[in-house]
Amino acid sequence: MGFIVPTQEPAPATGLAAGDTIQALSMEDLLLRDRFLFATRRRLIASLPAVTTTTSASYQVAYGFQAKLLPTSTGTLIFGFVVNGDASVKVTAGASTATVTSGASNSRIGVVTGVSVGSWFGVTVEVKSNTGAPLTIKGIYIAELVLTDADLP
Amino acid sequence: MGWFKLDDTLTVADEPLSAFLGYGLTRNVNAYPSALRRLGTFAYPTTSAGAAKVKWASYYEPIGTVLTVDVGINATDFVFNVFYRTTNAAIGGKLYVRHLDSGAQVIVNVAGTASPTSVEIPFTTTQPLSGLQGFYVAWQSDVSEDGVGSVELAGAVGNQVFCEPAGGAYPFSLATGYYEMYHLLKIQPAVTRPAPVARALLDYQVCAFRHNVNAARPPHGVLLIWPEIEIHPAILPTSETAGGGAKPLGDLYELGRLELYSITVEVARALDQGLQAPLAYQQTTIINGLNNQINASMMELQPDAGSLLTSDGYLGCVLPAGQQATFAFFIQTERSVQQLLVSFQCVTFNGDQSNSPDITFSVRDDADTAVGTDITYTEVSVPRIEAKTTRRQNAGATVYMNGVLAGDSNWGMRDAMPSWEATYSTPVRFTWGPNLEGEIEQGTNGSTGTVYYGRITATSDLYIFGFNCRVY
Repeated sequence: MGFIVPTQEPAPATGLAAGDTIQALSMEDLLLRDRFLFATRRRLIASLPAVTTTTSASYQVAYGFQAKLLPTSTGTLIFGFVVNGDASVKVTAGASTATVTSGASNSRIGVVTGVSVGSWFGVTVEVKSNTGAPLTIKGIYIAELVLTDADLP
Repeated sequence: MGWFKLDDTLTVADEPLSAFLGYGLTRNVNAYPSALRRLGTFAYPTTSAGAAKVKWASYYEPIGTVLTVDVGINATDFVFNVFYRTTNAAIGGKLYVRHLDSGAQVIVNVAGTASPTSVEIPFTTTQPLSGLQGFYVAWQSDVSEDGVGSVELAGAVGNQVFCEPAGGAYPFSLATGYYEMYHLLKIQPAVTRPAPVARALLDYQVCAFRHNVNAARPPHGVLLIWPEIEIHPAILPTSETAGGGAKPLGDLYELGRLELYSITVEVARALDQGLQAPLAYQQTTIINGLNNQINASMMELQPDAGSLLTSDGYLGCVLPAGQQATFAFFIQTERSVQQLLVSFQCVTFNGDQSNSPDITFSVRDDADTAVGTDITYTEVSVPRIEAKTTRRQNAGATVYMNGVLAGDSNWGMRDAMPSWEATYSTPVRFTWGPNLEGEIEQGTNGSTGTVYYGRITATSDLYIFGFNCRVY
């Protein structure tokens, strides 16, 4: 039997009340639930509020903050945003950078890899409009990437 | 790390399989609080040049804001990482972190710095905390040793001190009309008149300066101060007398002003939960208890979808009537049932509007299409922060809330609130959902159309703080 992280949250195990005969299926539900919870409950790093870009074609610093990953993190951040036009968002975490361009009124998700684990690092979020007009980014969500089967000990 | 794959290393000799599983699972569940310690970031918008918009200066008492932090389970030790700089590189102040429920607080001295830097503030609670907790993070300014100069005083009323330049020029650079200041005005006792009340105040924080820009008129100026003269009467002359000799003077000193970029809160330590991890066969109900534990701990283990709302650079969120406060989120894991639990604190402050507004929470996709069902609470009774002075300034003053007056970016205590205003507010909670499976799609690297945004609207101006959204 492979060591898997369920893609969906398993239903709570049943048949485990005092006096019940414990069945193998119930125990498996508990095991799957345990893996699922640990692998998917990753740190929220930041929920950044809405910001409006300028008309400039150059990046502008929108946010700067410090963050720290869980010791069990893979060192990868995942970030997403919603914007009402073609805009770019650049996230720099420590020495690593990732840029995502929406291309149109859209929502996009990107990742930053190679982030240090267990120590404070600086995060800078830069934004720019690619249309020459101010665009409103409804918010930027940054979290640790959830774990996979291969990441679990 | 505190979480373990269940393998042969956990096996005790002659241990039944059920006991092996029970033991391993119990140990893992116990480890959730420490293995899944949380972190929350409160980052505030900067200008294109990277300068912080949130600026605090306070002389009398620490002022700041309330942060609602999801601390997870049994958190005992925290680290508050404050990323900041000061307007004057030579003048700092003190940072306060206070747990609202217990009143426990720590104070650290912070040096002035011209370049952005961070300071870590350790905070240990007297008892383990779980779930959403309110912390008041505040700033109290140091005062410059040397004065910047003096002004001639010509009277005072409300929150206004009328002045003229001493020696022909003001001891600060004049900007047009009305602008922000962060100074201490010390009225010289030697020139005072008989006091209207005993122990009258002689020191006032100057939060703004307004002056006559018409060259054909005298260069009168108005120092807008806090607290107000009428609450703490100063010993001031009522006017300059024609033959009265020298005019009284007031000396100005600079206050340390914090320019805030962000506050990050990490749960540094959490206690293991109460479940013991003996050999399972020693407890006949351990499997049932374990089952309950995993289910019961779900609430504290739910991921956060949002921790902050601001608008236009204001700390907290001044939400004008009819406009939207938004935050983006996505889910990394499919769920059979998807719900959002939204909570925040709010007050009303606009005396021309109802303090029983309708408040709506909704979710939209990137095409602005409604997802799920909008929720509206009608005629929510929201406390109103009243004016602190009887004389309001059109361009901003100590009316409504300190510096949280919508549209006022020229106030030396802006973006900050006294702690008592936090306890005066109304908590608002929305439970959005449940929704059909797949209605909110899973978001992965490179995907499009899988980030959604929540939005709050109201029919009266609101000041929102302590925001949190949890997805489950």
